[in-house]
Amino acid sequence: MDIQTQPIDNGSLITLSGRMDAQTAPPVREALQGQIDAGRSMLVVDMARVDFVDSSGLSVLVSSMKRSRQAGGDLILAGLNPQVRVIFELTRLDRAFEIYADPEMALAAIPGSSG
Amino acid sequence: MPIPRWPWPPSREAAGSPLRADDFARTYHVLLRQLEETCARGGCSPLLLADAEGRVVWPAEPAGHILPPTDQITGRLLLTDGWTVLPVRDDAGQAAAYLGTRTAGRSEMAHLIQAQAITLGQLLQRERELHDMTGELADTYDQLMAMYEVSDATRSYFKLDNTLESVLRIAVRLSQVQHGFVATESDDGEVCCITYAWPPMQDKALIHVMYQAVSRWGHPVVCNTASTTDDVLPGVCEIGERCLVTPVSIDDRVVGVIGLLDKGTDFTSADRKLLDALAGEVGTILERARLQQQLVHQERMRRELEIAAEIQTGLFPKELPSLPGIDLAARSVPANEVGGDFYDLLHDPPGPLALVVGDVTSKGVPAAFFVTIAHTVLHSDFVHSPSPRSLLEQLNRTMYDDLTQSAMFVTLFVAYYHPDTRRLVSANAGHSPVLFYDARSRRCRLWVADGPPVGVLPALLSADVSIELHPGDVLVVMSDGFNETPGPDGKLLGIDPLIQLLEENAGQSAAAIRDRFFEAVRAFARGAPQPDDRTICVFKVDAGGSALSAERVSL
Repeated sequence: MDIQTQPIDNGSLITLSGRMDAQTAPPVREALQGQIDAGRSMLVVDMARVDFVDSSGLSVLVSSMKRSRQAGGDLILAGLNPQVRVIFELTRLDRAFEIYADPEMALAAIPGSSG
Repeated sequence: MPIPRWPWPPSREAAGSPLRADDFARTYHVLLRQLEETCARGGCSPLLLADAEGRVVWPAEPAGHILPPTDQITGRLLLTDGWTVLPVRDDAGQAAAYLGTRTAGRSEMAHLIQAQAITLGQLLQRERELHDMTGELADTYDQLMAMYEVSDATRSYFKLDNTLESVLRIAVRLSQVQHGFVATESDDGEVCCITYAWPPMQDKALIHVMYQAVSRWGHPVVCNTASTTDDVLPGVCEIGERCLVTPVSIDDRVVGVIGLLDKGTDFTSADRKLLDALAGEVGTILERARLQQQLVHQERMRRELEIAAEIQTGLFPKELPSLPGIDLAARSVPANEVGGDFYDLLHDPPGPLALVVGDVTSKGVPAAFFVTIAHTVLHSDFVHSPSPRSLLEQLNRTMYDDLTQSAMFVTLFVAYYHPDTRRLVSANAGHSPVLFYDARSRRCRLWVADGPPVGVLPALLSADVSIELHPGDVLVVMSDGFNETPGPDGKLLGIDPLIQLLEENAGQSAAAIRDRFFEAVRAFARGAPQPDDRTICVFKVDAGGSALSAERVSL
């Protein structure tokens, strides 16, 4: 799993690539937690290049979403591919997350953003 | 020529010291006496053998012989005319001794002495080699004895400290030092040391200094002078002038050091070899202790898991509720000893029958812990919850903080069946799609969740959905361990084959349908290990009365 981070207003854009399962989820948890701990609690996670998410991956996204909201931010998902989108729809986690078609739309939707 | 006999076992002191000319003369006295007689017959006497410094070593008792004058202070030979004295050279060409006699101009006797000096030189050289070999043999013998003692100590002591102390006692005795220690680092980085004959007032911080240095360098450190010791290992001089510290390694990884301090003479290569060998033994002892500890730990974990599995098995219904016209079957097979899946069937007549299937994210003990909490909450709140949604809301309220803390959530399907109205009210919080076989249309429909799992949001979003059931209708509630069963090529089974399976087998009993589902995933996996817990509840409206079948399979 590849994790790229770049700063945005009050937060970070995290781009993930690869499978997100029990083996690869822990570094993602650390990366997201690290951003929140550093005060960048508005997180946009670009999932366009994530082709599989299991329950461990979902747990990481849910727990990071909760933490970012506790810290006054949010965790917004962008660019879910169809296979991953189905998982979010079946578990109805799509009702818990803000999900956008791509990172640009997600960034534009952040309150107070210039985009 | 007599073969010299050495005492057995040879003493390290005798074997380790360089061979001297007087020792040689004592060993080969018969040869020298014969040569002496030959010289005497040729009119030459006395025969002399002097060491490299010129001190006469033969004859050992000069009485009766006329010796040339010697220096009264140094004892060195002072040669006068008429003597032939030739060096007895070793293979390196060094004069190891001198052989001579008063030849008084007899050239044939001078030649004899010359030939004999060469012969003695060769003999001396061989003797030296033999002497060295004997020394090495003595060292090897010592090491063998030490290894035997160490192995004996390893068998005799079950406690690690006693075994290491015993090894140190052997090392200290054989190397003739005053103190010894073994230092190791525990998993949490603390340096632990075992000492032998350690001075009571001496600070053990010194051992830490040596441990840090030698474990970092990874090779032995020999300090034979006070200044070197102080430079290389600061503070060592406080206890002794000399020290020898060797790393203890397991598979090229340094796990400790063994050290000897305060020796009366310099540490030799034999000491170093001995300590190297003992370090190897200490490594084996430490590794064995670690494995033993690991085994004990694993056994304790295994026993605890067994207990956890027993507790979890006890949480599943031992008997399914009996309701006229309803055929029930259920089974849960965890992937590990304990799992994160659970099912329950609750009935408080004349109220509704509740069917619950849940799946805690994650597996193993952490998931099992939340299964226990969910079970408790479900049982205590069921009677106070008029609908599945209210029961899920209560569960979400009670477990939300703990699930947040542990970064987990629970997918749950809850259905209430009202026997009097034949209505089934259900709520699905993020759980896998439920398969509903409509007997009238003979088609299977999927009931997907309408809200996220319990523990994701502070509020529950799922709503109650109500339908009327008819004879032959079948409800199959599974965990995702079924549809996410991987095949040999890694592809997942998916939900479609299971829909087809239900449509083909809906006419069978609930237990038979349950068994068909397990057979289907087993056939699809083709012997691959089960990656996730599998739980299924089959609820069938059957005009033929009730038949109950519940199982929880323990691994």
